[in-house]
Amino acid sequence: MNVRIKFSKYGPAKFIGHLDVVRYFQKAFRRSGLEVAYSAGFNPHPLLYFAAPLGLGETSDAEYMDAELLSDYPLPEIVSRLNAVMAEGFFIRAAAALPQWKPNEKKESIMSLTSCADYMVSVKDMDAEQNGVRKPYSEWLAGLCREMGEFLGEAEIIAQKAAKKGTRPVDLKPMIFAWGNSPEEICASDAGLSHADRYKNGLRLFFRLASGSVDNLKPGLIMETYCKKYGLPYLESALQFHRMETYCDLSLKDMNQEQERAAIDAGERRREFVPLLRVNTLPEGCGDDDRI
Amino acid sequence: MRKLALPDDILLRIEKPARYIGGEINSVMKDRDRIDIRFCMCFPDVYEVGMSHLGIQILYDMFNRREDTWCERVYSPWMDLDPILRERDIPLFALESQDPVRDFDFLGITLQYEMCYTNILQILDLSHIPLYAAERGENDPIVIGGGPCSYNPEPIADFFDFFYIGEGETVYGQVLDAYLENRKCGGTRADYLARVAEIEGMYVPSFYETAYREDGTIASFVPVHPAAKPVIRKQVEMSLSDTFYPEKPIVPFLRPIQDRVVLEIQRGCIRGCRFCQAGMLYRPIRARDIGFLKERAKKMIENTGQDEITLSSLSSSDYKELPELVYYLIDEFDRQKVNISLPSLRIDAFALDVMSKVQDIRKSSLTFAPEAGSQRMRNVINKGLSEENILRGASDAFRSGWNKVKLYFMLGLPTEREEDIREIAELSDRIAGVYYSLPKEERSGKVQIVTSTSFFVPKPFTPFQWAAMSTEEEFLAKQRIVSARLKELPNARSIRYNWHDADVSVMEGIFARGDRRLSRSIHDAYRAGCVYDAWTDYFKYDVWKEVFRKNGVDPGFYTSRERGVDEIFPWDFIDAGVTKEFLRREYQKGIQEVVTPNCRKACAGCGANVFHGGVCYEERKEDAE
Repeated sequence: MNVRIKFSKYGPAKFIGHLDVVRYFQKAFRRSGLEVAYSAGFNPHPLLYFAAPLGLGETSDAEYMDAELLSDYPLPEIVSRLNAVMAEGFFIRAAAALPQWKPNEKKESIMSLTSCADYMVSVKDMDAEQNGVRKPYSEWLAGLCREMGEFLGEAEIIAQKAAKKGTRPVDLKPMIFAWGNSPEEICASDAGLSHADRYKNGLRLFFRLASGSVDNLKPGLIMETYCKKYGLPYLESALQFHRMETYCDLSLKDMNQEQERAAIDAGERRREFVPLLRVNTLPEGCGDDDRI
Repeated sequence: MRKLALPDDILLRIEKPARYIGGEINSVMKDRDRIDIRFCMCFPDVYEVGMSHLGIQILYDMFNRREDTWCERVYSPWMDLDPILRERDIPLFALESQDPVRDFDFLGITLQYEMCYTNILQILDLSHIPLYAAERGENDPIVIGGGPCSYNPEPIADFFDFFYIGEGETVYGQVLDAYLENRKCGGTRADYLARVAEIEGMYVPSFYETAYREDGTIASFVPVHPAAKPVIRKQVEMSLSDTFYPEKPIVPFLRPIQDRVVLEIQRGCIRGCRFCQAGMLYRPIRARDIGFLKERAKKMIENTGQDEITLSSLSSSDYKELPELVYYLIDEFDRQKVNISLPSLRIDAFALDVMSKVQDIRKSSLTFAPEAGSQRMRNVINKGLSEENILRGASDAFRSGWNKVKLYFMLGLPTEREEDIREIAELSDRIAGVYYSLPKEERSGKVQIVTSTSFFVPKPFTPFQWAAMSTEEEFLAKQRIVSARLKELPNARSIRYNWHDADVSVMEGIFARGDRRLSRSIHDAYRAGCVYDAWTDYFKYDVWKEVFRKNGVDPGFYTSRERGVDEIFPWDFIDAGVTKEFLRREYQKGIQEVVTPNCRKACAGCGANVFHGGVCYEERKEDAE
């Protein structure tokens, strides 16, 4: 059977890089006794597909992967067997069955389905220094909530994005779908915060951003551009990025990358965001997501 | 959830932060308030190297079986973290609890190679533990050394409270019990060391004194403490099928050097190669029961989720039930897509059959370790591999589809002559020739031969412990002879030649047979910035040479000097089973090019029968291979 799995990654596990997470899950499936199908050839690898890599140091309550299993299992059993073999910082939240892929049918990869994600950005209780002044980073960013409205209200938000050679200017504006001071303001649910770290200073922001292989915006770039514009120190390690949910945009769903690009540029994107757990999956799911 | 010792800003600034977070699958967490003994195991090299070591996994499992003990791990911080820890004054911590190492009762350091000695000092220094044992106080951890280099612990003797000589499975229980007993009686650190010295195999260096002759050799080495024994007998686990062996090895998040489950099938070796320290130290050969191995293999795969298992031993082909074990593993694991890797296998029909089942012939290469190019030289070192064996093995392998061969040789062996060196090139060429003599339809493309030479370093407890080691200049001259000869040969284009660095070999030579007078130089080299000497990028030969010069150490005294028959060696106080008389006899036979049969054919009277078991008490067969 084919199954989509949603998991959280938090605590010390945020320092495990994406490729090591892939290797970790290959081994976790073997320990769980759930038999994963292997690719053919002399170097067979287990058929696990991940949606969107999470940056080193980031936490998440909405990581997704698809797995091709050799036999059928009840969904609650998949969740409990995997949770029984997880390391600290990994938690399997939910599983949903995918329809059986027909032979030779082109599979819709979970990576290409991904087009949007919600993030919480929290300010850690850490000091930052600029021009000989050292104070809590939350004090440097005290004006954040007010100024962010101003900053994001501009017609364009030009940032320098890392490119193959140096940086290139990009307009962030079309990649920011929503922002706010609470999950509700970006239409997100609190479930996406269950494994998020909390800090005493309480300063945090929420963003709904383009994510995936066509457009991809990391919340760090918004924060960096903001800090630059307002003359504030930018200290990435003093910000905690937490992914709350990952979505597919149904209005772009059946397109390839070029078509998607063209549709976005032509303003045809309708922003019909659906969490990945409910895209292509069969209705009966299992897990914490109340709307499966 | 555990709180990490390093703050986020540090972890996000360094390479591979997962090296320092612990929490791996099968790592052990305990309640620190319900523990009497906290033991920190250390492999003094970077995490990915240290996590590949079986010995620590065995001891970790063994210690953690005790309810009163919590064993954790620490590895060398990489060079990016080292300066940060110093600058921010963060004491080095254990991975599991993230607590400072200096708060532990014990720090056990495994000594796998000589070039890690400065890393030991880095670990102590970053832990804020005094480097010299004599300077440690009641609150510092007891620092223990163990592993192969503890068979000559003298160069690093000043840094350790005691050494555990031999295999860890036997008396560590007594070592810990004595600690609890001592604490109960309100004993001091010194009282504890006196108790430890009573336990067989434990060597407390501060309880001994060495006197030197005018020529620099040892005049006497004597105990100066009532508890110290004049001779320390190495520890040997005689029942390998009824002892500690992990069912749940730790699975790192990062890819270690050896990313697989390790199944140690036997300890020791029957071959008696005269250069090989492991072959002498781990005598007598002891095999594990096949039933034990099958069961452990299955459990370890189940509990780790690893997709590869490797059989470990000094010479797997000498494990009597190897075919049964290997075919069982293939059967058992094939469907689960678990790979089986078989190092140190003699190339024969069985090996070729097995390898064709478990490897991709087109990608894998065959490995031969003739160690010496000429038959004469192989007789000197007692390497029982004839040229006929090698060429037949290669020919069979080529016909089965292999076309990549790796060859390992040593330069600088005792009695070596120029023609022996040239033979290294010539044998490589003849192997390539075997390939091209096959009919074209039986070949698959070009043959690729990789010939590697290392420089011979004489080691304690080997027949060559008396022998002079070549100098750096001699080594380089020898290596040039191989290079030049290879170029003249018809198949030169099919052969790639690699060689080791001569300067590192010289350093190894100094420490391998060094004495207590070297501690000061190791300390000074560390203070002058030497660390990670085993890593080419960080090895600072010039600094070492300068430190030796300042301390009046003549490296040649330790390396290129032929020792006298009666010389007292720094390691003579250790009884490793094999006797000095046997080793001397073997040295002389070597020089006379006389071969000694393996332990299964005939007993050579090495002395290892004092351990009452293993091959020494098996029936011998004249026709044993």
